[in-house]
Amino acid sequence: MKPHIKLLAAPVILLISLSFLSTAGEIGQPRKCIMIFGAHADDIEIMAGGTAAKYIIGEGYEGIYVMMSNNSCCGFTGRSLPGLGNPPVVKETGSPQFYPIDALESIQMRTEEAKNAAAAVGAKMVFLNLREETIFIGRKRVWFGTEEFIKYNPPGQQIASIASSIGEYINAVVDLFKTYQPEITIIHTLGGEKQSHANCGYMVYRAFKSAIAQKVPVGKLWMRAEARRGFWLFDPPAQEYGRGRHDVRIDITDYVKIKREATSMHVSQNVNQYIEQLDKLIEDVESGQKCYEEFITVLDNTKKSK
Amino acid sequence: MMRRQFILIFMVFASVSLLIHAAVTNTKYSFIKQWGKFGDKSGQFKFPTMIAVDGLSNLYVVDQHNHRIQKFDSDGRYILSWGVFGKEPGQFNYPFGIAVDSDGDVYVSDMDNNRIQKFSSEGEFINMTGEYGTGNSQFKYPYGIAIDKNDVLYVIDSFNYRIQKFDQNLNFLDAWGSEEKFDIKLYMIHEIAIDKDGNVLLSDRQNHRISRFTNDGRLIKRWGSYGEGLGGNNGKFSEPHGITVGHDGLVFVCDRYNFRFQKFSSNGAFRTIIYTRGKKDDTKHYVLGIAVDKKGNVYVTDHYQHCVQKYRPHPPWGGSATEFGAPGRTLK
Repeated sequence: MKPHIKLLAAPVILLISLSFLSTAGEIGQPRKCIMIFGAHADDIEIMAGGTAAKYIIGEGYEGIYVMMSNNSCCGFTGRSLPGLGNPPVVKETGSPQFYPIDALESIQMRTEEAKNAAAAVGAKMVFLNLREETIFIGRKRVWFGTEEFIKYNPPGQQIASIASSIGEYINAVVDLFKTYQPEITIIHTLGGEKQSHANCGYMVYRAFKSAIAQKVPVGKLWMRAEARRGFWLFDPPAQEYGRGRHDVRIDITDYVKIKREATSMHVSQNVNQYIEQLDKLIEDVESGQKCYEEFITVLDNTKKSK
Repeated sequence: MMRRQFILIFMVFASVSLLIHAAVTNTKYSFIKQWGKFGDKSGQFKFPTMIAVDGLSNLYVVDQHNHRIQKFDSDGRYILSWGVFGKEPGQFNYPFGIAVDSDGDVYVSDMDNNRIQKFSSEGEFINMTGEYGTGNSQFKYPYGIAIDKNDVLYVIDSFNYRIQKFDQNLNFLDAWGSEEKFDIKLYMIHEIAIDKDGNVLLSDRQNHRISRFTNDGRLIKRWGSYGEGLGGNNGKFSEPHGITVGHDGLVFVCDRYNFRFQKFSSNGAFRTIIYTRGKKDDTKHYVLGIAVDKKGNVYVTDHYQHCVQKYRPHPPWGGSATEFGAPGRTLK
């Protein structure tokens, strides 16, 4: 081969090689990683705490928890949630049965609780810092868009319902998929749950589709189906939707106690109603019954890969 | 004759003693002035938190959502301010607590930056310590701070449920505390003061009481219980917040949801209730931070109405037309 042909051939070969490597990356397999997106910190444990423990502790997956909203309008109210009838967890000496805290402290509190819960299963916490639609200023509930909300200007970015339709925020989630390339991604039930949950789920759904279009090696997107004993989907319409036929059933029998431990970290969220139900599940497990978390596959990128 | 003289002297002595006692125990407070409104201009506030007073009776107010400190004279005249939002030295991310040492230097808990910053009285940055974490000199959201007569700085390290102590150069000295020791869960105490004996006073909003610890963390005493509105009698609280100790050793506590502050003896015996009010109306004020100057004037911040108020003490037989809120009175 003549020297000038060699000179020409070298970059061509390099380009072909790079092209091959690039193609190999695009069609690569997802990593052994499970990502769970919760509108709020405790949603992750309630929605899929057992599944997370099974994959992370039991099967050695990398666990990524994404807390989407940085706050909660509830904080800890010191009173029972409507219809749930359980006493507050926190000892109070005669306080009125209503004890909200300012948004700023609520954010701090929930951030710390999220970290503690993730640590219980060895997951990494990621915070998207979206804002909540409502906050407390003193004892007053304040809604997004009002003068008081604007004055308080709580830390964080756009509220989830708006962010779910803005490319910039969806791309931030796509970037997470590029970073972690999860085999399994779990979100809230699409379309049925309360607004903040649904919006967060929809935002991740859009990002997941975008990731697939960009040939990011993501695996399956699951959304929460009906929960055993119905303690996840509280409002009837959501329950109806969430009762769509599950196609994924994860046996969490060996991980219910870990789910309980992680859930109990969310002290500010009056989690005792969940804890009581998890205690019943633990009793069931100890009497020989199996326990499951169920999901519906929304998107499956592994089929296309094959 | 001798007996009459003795009786006369005794009666005079007793009368004087009673007057002094009455003056001390029943001192009333007159509303003097209020300044500030929502905004980011000089003299305006966005959610002010704690307030401190220096030896010259200048006031330093943490203007939390403006991420700055504002300095005023004792009549509320604006002097200067410093700080903007950020992570660099001299910048703040939601500051909360403030204290002044014997040299007049100012310490600020820079809450969401998880550090303590030290400034001169002119706002020049001197030093800082802290980062997020659980070790010595690390914090999980430092809230209230206070300085004792030896210039030891006490910091409420809220989500680590402990008090950390530092010297004037912000070198770590000691730490103590736990959820069990404070007898709280979730609602960490936010405000702290040091009494005349060097003990630590903590304002416990969750349990509606004041706790006194030795400076190395041994519980001495607790006082107060929940009471709000018509049930909020003397010595009861509804979410106590700011706490400070006057030069006479008396303890002042912000009783936020009773819209007032209360005064106690150094041992926690109730002395006086002072209801807050608006400038020209009966607006209720959510008092959060409190400071007392050498003359006994009391300054409180209203976190939700973005202002500072000044109250002046006077003996029970004095007073002015602006005095209001006799002990036991409850605003509706």
